[in-house]
Parts: sequence; C-alpha cells; structure tokens
Amino acid sequence: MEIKFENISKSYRRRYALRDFSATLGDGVCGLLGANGAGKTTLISILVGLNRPDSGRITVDGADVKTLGREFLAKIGYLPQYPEFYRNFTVADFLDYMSALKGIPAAEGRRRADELLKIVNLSDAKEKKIGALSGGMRQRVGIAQAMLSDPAILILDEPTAGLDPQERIRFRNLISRFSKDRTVLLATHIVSDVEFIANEVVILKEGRLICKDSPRVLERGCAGLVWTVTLPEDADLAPFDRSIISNMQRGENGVMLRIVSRAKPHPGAVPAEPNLEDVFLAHFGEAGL
Amino acid sequence: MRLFRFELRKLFLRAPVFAALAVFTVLDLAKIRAVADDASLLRTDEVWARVCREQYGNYSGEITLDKIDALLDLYKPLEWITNDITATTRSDVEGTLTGNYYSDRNLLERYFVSPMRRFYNCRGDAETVVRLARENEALYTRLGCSYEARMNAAVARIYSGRAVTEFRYTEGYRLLLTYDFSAVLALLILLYALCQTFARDRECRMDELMLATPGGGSSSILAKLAAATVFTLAVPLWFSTVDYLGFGLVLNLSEANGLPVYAEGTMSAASVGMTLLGFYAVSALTRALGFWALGMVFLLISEAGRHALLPFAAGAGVFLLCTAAGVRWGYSSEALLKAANPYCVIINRLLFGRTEFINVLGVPVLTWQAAIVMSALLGLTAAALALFLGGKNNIRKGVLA
Repeated sequence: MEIKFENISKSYRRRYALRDFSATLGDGVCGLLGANGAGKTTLISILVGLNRPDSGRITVDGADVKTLGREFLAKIGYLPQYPEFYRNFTVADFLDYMSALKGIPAAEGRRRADELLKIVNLSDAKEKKIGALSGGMRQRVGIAQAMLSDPAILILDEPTAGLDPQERIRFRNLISRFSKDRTVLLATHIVSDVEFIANEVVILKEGRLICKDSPRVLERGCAGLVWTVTLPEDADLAPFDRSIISNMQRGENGVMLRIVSRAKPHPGAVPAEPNLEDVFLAHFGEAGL
Repeated sequence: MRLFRFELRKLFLRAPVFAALAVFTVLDLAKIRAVADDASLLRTDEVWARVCREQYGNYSGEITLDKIDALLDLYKPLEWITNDITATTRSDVEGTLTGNYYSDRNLLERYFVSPMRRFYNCRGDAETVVRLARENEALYTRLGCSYEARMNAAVARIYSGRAVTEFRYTEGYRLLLTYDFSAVLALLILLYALCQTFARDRECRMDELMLATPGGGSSSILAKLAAATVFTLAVPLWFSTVDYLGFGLVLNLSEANGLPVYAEGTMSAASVGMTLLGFYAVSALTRALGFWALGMVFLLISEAGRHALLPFAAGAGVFLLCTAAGVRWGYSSEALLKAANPYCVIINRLLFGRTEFINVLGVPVLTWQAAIVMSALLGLTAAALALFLGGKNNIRKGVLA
C-alpha cells in the first residue's frame, strides 16, 4: 500500500501547522519525528479526516481518499494521543463497541478481540474495567482496538507517552509485530520509539518536512557532526553551554560529553558514530545546526 | 442496532443513573405520602375515614334522585344548625356521624355534597355552554366572522353530551393531577444523564477515535439520539407510573378510574372527554413528549461543552427560563405562549384543563394539540441540529480539499 501526501498545508490563525508537506509512505513502520508543535498530530488528523487541509491531497494506491470515503476509514486503525476510553466499560465491551463502530459483525469482532487480547497479553484483563487498567495496559487495549479490522494502515499518535520503560519496550515490540504487510505511521517525539523498528523516519519541524529516509541513512547523513570528549571532573563546562549536548556521563575518568556540532567542539574531542537521537538533535537541538 | 444498544448502555444504563433513579423514586413516594397526608383528612383522621367509608356505600355508584334526597336530608339540618354557629361544639353528641355537628357538616360538604352537586350540575352546565356556543356560532356566521363561528362550533361539539352519571371518590385524582414534584425529579435525572452525551466522549477523547471509524459520525449520533429518545421517554413514564401507583396506594384511585375527566373539579373546563384513567395515560404520554423535546435541546447543548458541567448549567438555565415563562403565561389566556413552551407540555393540566384555541390559518386548533405539534417540532429541530452540528469526518463527507 502506498500513501502519498501531496503538498499538504494547514494553518491556524495565519500560522502554518503544516506547510507544503509531500511524502510517500510504503509498507513497514514510518516514524514521524518532531518536537512538540512540529505538526505531527495535524498531519495525522488530516490523514484520518479529523481535520481538513487548506490545500493538497492524499492518495492511497493512487486513489484520492476523498473519493474512497468510508472505504478509506475501513482501511485504517487509529490510536489517538492520550486516549482514556470509557472507564466503566470492560475491555471486552469496549472492543465490542469499537467493532460495532468499525462495522465488524459481532461474532467476528469478538473472535478478533480474543485473538488480539492474547497478542497484547491482556486475555486475563478481558473482564476488567478500563478505569482499573494501568496506562500501559490501556495503551495495549488501544492498539488492540486499532487492529480490530485488520487494517492496512495503522496510525499511532504518541502511543508511548506516559509509559514506563518496560511498557514502552513492550509496546514497541507490539508495533513491530503488527507492522508485517501493513503501513504503520508512528508519530512520536521520543526517538527511541522508532530508532530500532522504523524502516523510514520522517522528520518534521515547524510544519515542514526536514528529511525522510531510513534511520541508517539519516545517521550516515550526520557523520562528522557527533563528537565525544572526556574532561576532568572539575573542568569548567561553561564553554559548552551553547553546544548541543546529547549525553553527559560522569565516570572514573571524568565527565564524558557527547556533542552534536559542525565544528570540533574541543581540542580533545573525537568523532563518534551518530545515532538517531543525534540526527534529531542536529535538527531540533537549540535552533538546529 | 448494535450502536444503539451500546449508546444506551454507555450513556444511560449506568450505576449512577440507576442509583439516582432509585433514590428519586423513594423520594417521590415519600413526597406523595406527605402530600396525601397534608391534603386528605381521610389519611389523618380515623373517625372521618370510617364515616366516609360508611357513607360512601350509601351514595357511590349511579347518581339517582333518591340518593341526592337522602344526602340532602342528612346535610340540610346540619347546615341549618351550624350556619348561625349556635350548635353545640361538644364532640360526643349522640346521633351525629363524627360526634360533632360542625365536623359532620364539613365532612359531608367536602366529600359528598360538593362533589355530588358538581357531578349533578355537569350535564346542565354543559348544555348551557353548548346552547350559548351555538347561539354565538349563529351570530358570528351572520356577521361573517368565520373563525369565531368555527371556534364556537368546536366548543359546542366538545361540550355536547357531557354528563357525570356516577358518584365516585375523586380526591386522589385531584391530588394526582396537580402533583408536579416528580417532574422536577425526572428533569434532574435527564439533565444529569443527557448533558454528558457528547461531553463524555470529549472528556475521554473518544470523539476523535470514533470519528476515524466508518460508523463513528452520523451513525453514532443517530444511535445517541435514539438512545436519548428511549431514555427521555422512559424516565417520565416511570415517574408517572410511580405517581399513579403511589397515589393509588394511599388514596384509592381505582374508584374514579372510569369517571369522565371533567368530573374532577380542576378539570371541569377540560377540552377532552375521556375517562380519568385514560386522561392520566394521555397526560403521562404528553408529559413524556415535553421531556423528550427538552431532552433533545439538552442533547444539542451538550455538543457545545468539552465538560459536562457547562451543558448541565446551560440545560438547567433553559429549563428555568421555560418554567418562568410557564408560570408567567401558563395560567393566562396567551394560548400561543403556552403551546410553545415545553414546560406547559410537561405540566399539561395547563393545556388540557381549559378549552382554548389557537388560530391556525383561520382554523381553531386546541391549545394542547398545537402544543404537542410544537413540542414535537422543537424536539425534531434540536435533534436535526445535533445531527447536523455533530462531529463529522471530512473524508466521510468527501470535502477533503
């Protein structure tokens, strides 16, 4: 499946939330990275039809989504940002309700819900009220509902926000598992969410597409921009106040700084292998490089 | 249908709603008992209750001249000796019904003479109304005032053949037909439940998720409207049933079930001629319609707020405005202002209890008929607006630029 965004723009009170965004997404996980307010949620809300773009169009396998209408909505599974769902519904009831909204026959919906609850490891919580679930469990219910119709396109908006590290890893693995033969658009500002599972990363900044490629290619693009330097424990760090420091670690040999910079930040600095976090910082740290 | 069931369950079949319904039902029954105890001496005075039971056996059933004579034979001497307040005030007088002359007179006047007089005079009064209405009709026809002529013809038709042929105990119905406390209780429950309809989805951010599903737009709103309709009809009908059973239990309504509605004093000028039981059923259904119309307005308001508190306050404000307007014009001759107010449809004795008309393109339409149509229109308009203004998916609408 190919989703094509063509020159999508959206502004609120003369301020662009998205500006001339064009990109093509294929099967696999696409990480939509950006700082808060970069336009990720606007892009997603336009894709799922909650918002109307000022200009541009979206096609799926060449067909304009506006001509597909409901047919397109039937193809997507969506997990919005910070969902709470209905606290007084049990997990089973909630999935049954979502099946009804998605037009899945009752028996088929229940069978599918059982399968998915097993996959997301929530079979034991089937009869629990949603209000009694932890944040992580609720997000797993969220991805289960998104997967109910076995959608060709899975859209997740900040799905790991507020989760503890263990739940975040568990959730990441679930996304990876569900990405087989479908397009997963995962919007996040947490780099580690997409670093290991995304086939492609799209970086948005102030509503504009900054770059789009596989994580490895993006990392290679930052080669020569990442440095490490180890300084004595009592060294003056003031000269680095304006630098983009991606990591600072105190050890036996002193303080090890990982710095994103075009120029060598310190005579003792040595080049380091960039990771996706460095790529992100290269674009968003301070005012970007 | 599945969505409707889910919406019904999600919005209304919830523990807090049931708890409120249970508490308010108990409160309603307690209030009914208090009203009955306060208004009916038969509930608080054992002697009166016993005497009434005994005397009722003598006069109930078909009204005959023999029964009227027997009643007057008992009552007239009491009237004479108590009119000048010279009768003894002792409470153990031999040969009296209750032991006291004044008490005897009051009891007979209140529970037998006065209702018997009203029942007996009903036929004559109605005949007078019919005669005068026909005379007016003829006069207005001569003068070329077609609307007034039609109105008088309608009055003559409504009052024609009116008569109360049986003597029955109607105090229970009098209290039942003027009892409004349960309407307030029903309103509070409806406000509480309906104001959350859309706000609840927003509060838990389900609105976005729903709109991104094929059935989450209009289908979901229609399911909400259908569920709200069932709920807004069920709650007032429940309280109407509780009221009937409550008053029936404490004041024996069944005795007067078959009497015509105009036999009850407060409804003597009613524009309908069905039995009291039939009228109560119609009144309960009309009340439910009034609540439904208001309920749809509450539902529409609930679309405006992210949290339920604002719609609750706004809904309560709307009802207070309706109540103020109802109190101001409900007892006046401003028939149109009455008909247009859902409060008067809820407290519908204001409409049914009088024979008055609204001029609709030269045709006299009874106020209660116009009120029912206007309430239905108000409810349908609010529901249509809720559907129209409700969240839409731009893709579903096919307006994605």
